[in-house]
Amino acid sequence: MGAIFFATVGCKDNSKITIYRVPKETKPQMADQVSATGDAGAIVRWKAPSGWQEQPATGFRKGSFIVRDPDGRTADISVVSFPESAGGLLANVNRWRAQLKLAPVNEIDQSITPLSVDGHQIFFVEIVSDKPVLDGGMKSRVLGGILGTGGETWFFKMSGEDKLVASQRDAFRQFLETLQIGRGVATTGTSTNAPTPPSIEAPEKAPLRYALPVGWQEQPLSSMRVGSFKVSGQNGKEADVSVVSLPGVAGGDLANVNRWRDQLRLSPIDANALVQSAEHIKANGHDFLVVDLVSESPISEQRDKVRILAAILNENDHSWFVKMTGEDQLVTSQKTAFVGFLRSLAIP
Amino acid sequence: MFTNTLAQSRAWDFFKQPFRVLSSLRLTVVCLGLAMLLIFFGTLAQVHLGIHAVQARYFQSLFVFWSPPGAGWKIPVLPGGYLLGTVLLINLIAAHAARFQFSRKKAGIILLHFGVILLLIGQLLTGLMAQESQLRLDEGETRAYSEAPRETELAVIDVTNPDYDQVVAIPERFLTRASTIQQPTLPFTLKIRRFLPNSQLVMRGQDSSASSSEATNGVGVNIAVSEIPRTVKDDERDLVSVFVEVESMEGALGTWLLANAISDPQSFTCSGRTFELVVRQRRFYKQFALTLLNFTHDRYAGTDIPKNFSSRVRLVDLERNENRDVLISMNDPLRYRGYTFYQSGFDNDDKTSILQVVKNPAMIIPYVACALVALGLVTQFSMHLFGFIRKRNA
Amino acid sequence: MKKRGPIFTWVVIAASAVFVLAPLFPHDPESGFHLREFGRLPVLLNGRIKPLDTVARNSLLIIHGRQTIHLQHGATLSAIEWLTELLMNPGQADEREIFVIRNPDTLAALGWGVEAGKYFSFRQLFPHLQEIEQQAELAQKVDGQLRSPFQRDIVKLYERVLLYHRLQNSIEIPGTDDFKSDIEELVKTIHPSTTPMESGISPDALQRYAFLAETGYFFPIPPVPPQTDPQQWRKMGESILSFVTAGNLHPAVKAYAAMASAYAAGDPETFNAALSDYGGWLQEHFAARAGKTHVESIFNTLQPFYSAMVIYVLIFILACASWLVWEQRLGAYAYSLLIFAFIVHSCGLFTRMYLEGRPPVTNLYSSAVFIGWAAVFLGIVLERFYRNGIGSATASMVGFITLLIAHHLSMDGDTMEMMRAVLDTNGWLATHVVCVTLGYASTFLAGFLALTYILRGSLTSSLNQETARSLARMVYGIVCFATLFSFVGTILGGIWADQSWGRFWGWDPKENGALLIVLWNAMILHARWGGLVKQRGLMVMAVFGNIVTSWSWFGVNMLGIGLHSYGFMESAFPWLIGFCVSQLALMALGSLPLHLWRSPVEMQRPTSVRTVAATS
Repeated sequence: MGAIFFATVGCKDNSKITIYRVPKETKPQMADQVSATGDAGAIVRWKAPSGWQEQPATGFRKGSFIVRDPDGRTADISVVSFPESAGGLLANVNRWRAQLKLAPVNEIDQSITPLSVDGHQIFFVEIVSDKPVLDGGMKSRVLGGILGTGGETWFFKMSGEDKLVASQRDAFRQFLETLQIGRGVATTGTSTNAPTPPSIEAPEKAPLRYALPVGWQEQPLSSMRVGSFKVSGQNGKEADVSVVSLPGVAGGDLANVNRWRDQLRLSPIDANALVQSAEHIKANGHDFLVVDLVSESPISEQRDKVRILAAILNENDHSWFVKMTGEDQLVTSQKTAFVGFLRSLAIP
Repeated sequence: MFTNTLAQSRAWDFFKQPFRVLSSLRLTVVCLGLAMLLIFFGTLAQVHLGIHAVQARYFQSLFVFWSPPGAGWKIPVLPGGYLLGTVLLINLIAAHAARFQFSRKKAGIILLHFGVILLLIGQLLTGLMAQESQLRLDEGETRAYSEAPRETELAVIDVTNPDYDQVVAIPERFLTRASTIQQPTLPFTLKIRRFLPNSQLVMRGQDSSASSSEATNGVGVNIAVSEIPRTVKDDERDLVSVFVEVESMEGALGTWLLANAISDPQSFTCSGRTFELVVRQRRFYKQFALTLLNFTHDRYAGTDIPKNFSSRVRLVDLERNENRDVLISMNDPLRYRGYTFYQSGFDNDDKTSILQVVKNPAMIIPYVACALVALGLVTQFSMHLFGFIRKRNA
Repeated sequence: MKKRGPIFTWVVIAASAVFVLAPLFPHDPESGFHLREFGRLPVLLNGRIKPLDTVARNSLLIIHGRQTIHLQHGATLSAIEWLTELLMNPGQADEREIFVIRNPDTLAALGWGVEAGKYFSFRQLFPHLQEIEQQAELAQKVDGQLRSPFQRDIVKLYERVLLYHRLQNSIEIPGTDDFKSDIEELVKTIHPSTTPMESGISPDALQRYAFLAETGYFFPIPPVPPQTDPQQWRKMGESILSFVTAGNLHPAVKAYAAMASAYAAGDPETFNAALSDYGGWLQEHFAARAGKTHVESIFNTLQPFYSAMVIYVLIFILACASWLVWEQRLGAYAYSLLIFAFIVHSCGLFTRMYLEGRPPVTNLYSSAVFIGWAAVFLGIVLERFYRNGIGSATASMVGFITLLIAHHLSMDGDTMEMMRAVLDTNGWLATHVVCVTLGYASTFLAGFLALTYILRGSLTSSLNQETARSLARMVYGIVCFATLFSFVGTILGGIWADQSWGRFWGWDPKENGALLIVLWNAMILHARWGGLVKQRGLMVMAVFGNIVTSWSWFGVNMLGIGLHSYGFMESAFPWLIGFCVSQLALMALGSLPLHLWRSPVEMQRPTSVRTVAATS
């Protein structure tokens, strides 16, 4: 009796190599539904409308898309979740308003509509800037969805040029309506018999490479910017440097320069004048068109004159814009640094 | 009576002393005490080792070993579950042989002990013969196999034929050591170059310090692998990875990295046939398939406390001409062809149902044993009780 | 027995009955507002429909640690008074100093020193809410068992503040002066429409009611008759919003709004009128529900387990005294009181079963109550046969201790919580769980009987041979009972597991604990039968049974692992250790050589199996 015990105990794992036939397996379809898990465990799923290009979701984003119009302008769509109420509905709407340089509001007005999606309440927000706030003298429009669910708040935001975003309003509403909100993973009984399969970690996106000039501080990137810096000068003066990359010619050099001239309340120029006034800086095999513009008189909010120092690079059917905007003297003093920065840029 | 005749034989004298020990009540008490110690320490150990490791080490073993940290040697400190169970079994049987007469007065105790014997045997058989696996089904998905949650296999799949796949499934234990596997149906040999019971996989490029990969083909070329300690948490799974070199008549075809985290099979051709390699959870194919039609999960109003969950599945068995819908819910499993499917859990926001699949031929034994024990207990104690009352009233 | 005996016994019983029923007849009249009646209104919370009184008591227990608030000058605020104030006059409620903060680190985090005291009001905490939230968030990232005392305390504080905040927003938004007018205004101006913005409601109001819907804690609005599904109860905000989109304002909304406005205005007549109107409506449409919540609120008021606990102490004193003097009379009083206390205990137990619709043991709290009940029952049986006060004494001691444990377990909130899906079958709850709990109860009783033997024998001279022998028989009998029930209970658990997830035995900590009890009781019996232990050895072994049972009942829950980890009691751990140490000490006492004992317990001659079997 004992012998049987020991014999069987000894070879517990006597599994063998087996050979068998099975019918062909249909590989599971990649669901066109994307889902993401928030910090509090809520799972939100959406279906992106056609025409929205999916982008890698980095940083805070749980989801990221871009929609382009024929002119090459883009509107950016982001999905982000924050714990708890993230400040509340009003605070966040005002945050978006501030981004559009609008005054904050004290109460929910007609720009905010509650929707009911999948048994949850989502506040749909639509705001347009009064003045042009985008490069190129364009107004900006924001479409937003704010969803509060079990311990966290989700933000769905489309922002971009006024007309483009306005044309996407229905698509955005539809996007909100495809949302499915639910709870996270849960099991019961014995140990949770649902271990999620382990996965390989994905590599990070390669950032823009450059040599950071002295005195320039890196800032968080945004939907439009692949590089963003701040320069602080005396007396609290600041200059902002942005690096933007767009496909195609993005409207063309002249149009962009005139857009910047317009921002400084300067009159537009024609192509000849551009050729005469602009510099060319060659660096690393790239040919940058550089313009140095200064406003004639102090403009609105700033009591100082504003200078824009900008470089445009067109290469490989792609356009790069490096632009420094700030107080006249500060920007002037930074010109050498700006050129050095251009030279150090590694354009892919 | 039995022992008296035996006592007369000369050979008996030799066995008398050990037999007396084996059949003594003292041994029973000692064994029960040791069993209590084993269970107590086993329970404490679960906090750090997890229930499966403890089961294997404490209860499905002959001895429980202990080694000082860092030392290579180990000493047995407690008898393990199997050893204790065997000794108790022998003790019980010997005690009955030595002392008990089959009288009506002892009927209760005999029944009781016989039930205990049966219970112990049943648990041993269960430990040896039962097969537990899991079936994860998304809504709408059909599967004809279940998976072992903690065991992997290397599957070599011949996908040449358009109508079917021919699978050679190599269980994990063949992969743990560097060895060569040759199967008559395969025109190549598989050399296991390295096996990692739990590992971490990272895309190369981030980790520039790592040397070039041991893999020469497939996705493994771009992946850096490092070994990490095995997990002890019940709800985590080890990431098994293995480097396999394929060698055919023409020479080495290459080395692949296979892991259960790499779910897509990697393929190559040899002798005009196409093969796929994949490491996955060990599959147990069945002659029937289940499709999850719908999973429902009710909660108590305004809470997250689960009230009940159930899966509506379709059972299709071409061999036996079965095609019917079944509802599997908590406390109401599906029993079919020796397998029992229990509603175990759910995932994916109520879109995936997890069923526990159990095949245990010894399943009926505990019920019989329990019935016997219950009968014995009730008989014995009611006899005592009535005797007691009668005496008090006398 | 003297003639005076029986009459005096009835006097004692009557006095106890008065004590038990006293809470039903309060000596201070209600100050106008019929809050006791208000407390009987049913609401849905955590899956169960319960009276507001239960919500009030449990919430106050969680926040304040007590079911009443002690004000200055000896006045008290009952739980329902507090809740009504919180719901309808939050400005005043915010001033009540009810939040308990003891941890000095928590005080420091809020910028206070230890001299700031122990109790704080919501108003005082309000400026620090963000810090509390942030600290709690950090602490919550750490695994529950690994948190430092500060982390546990701040998480608790955050949960209490959150509970308070949610309660505040369950009927009306704080700051509403006249909810009734608001609702009337709404009814007049709204044209219900599926798109809320088109109904004419102001965005501000919409946002406020949405906030109310989301933040509210309980669900006060019943479904629209003839619907009776408990899943259809609604929060106040939800109901208002559904009116905005679909019309049909629920009468309950109007009722609560009227009560809120009346309470805020200090108008008891209007309040009571609205209350009784609503009560009448409930009676008409939800008579059964209303009846059940009525029973529950009476149950809350009476607190039968607390009363029983007090009586058990009295019984213990009487029984112990009966060993010194007036044995028969005091013994009789003790016995009658025991039966009376048992009836009270049983009423509490059965009422719980009625309210929950479940067998007696569903969670740790109810297991404590049941263990006490079963032990007292066995003690009554023993006392009936032996009439020597031992049964009364031990039963009352076990009853008292288990009810005390239950009382502490109730501090976490609602003790009648819903059962998770896997535990949801009344059949197995009634059989497996009850059997195992009976096993616990009887092992404890045997242990305490043995304690009586050891204490009386070693410390007093009152343990004569007759008492010793009857104790030995009692212990032996109870151990047999314990073996039977714990074994059967464990087996039933195995069968339930096999039926539910295909595994008869999984070596889960709770399963292991139950098996330990079976094995220990079996060991006691086998040791006794084999003559390995005599009378004293039996007693010492039985005391060890207390340790094994407390491990199995409480200890395994503290491991936080396995199927049965439905409770984590950080504070109970030192008590458990203390109890085990005390039992070990008493075992050592019991093992001292007999000549050191004060009682003349004689040395036992070795007995054989047959002799023991004959005397048992």
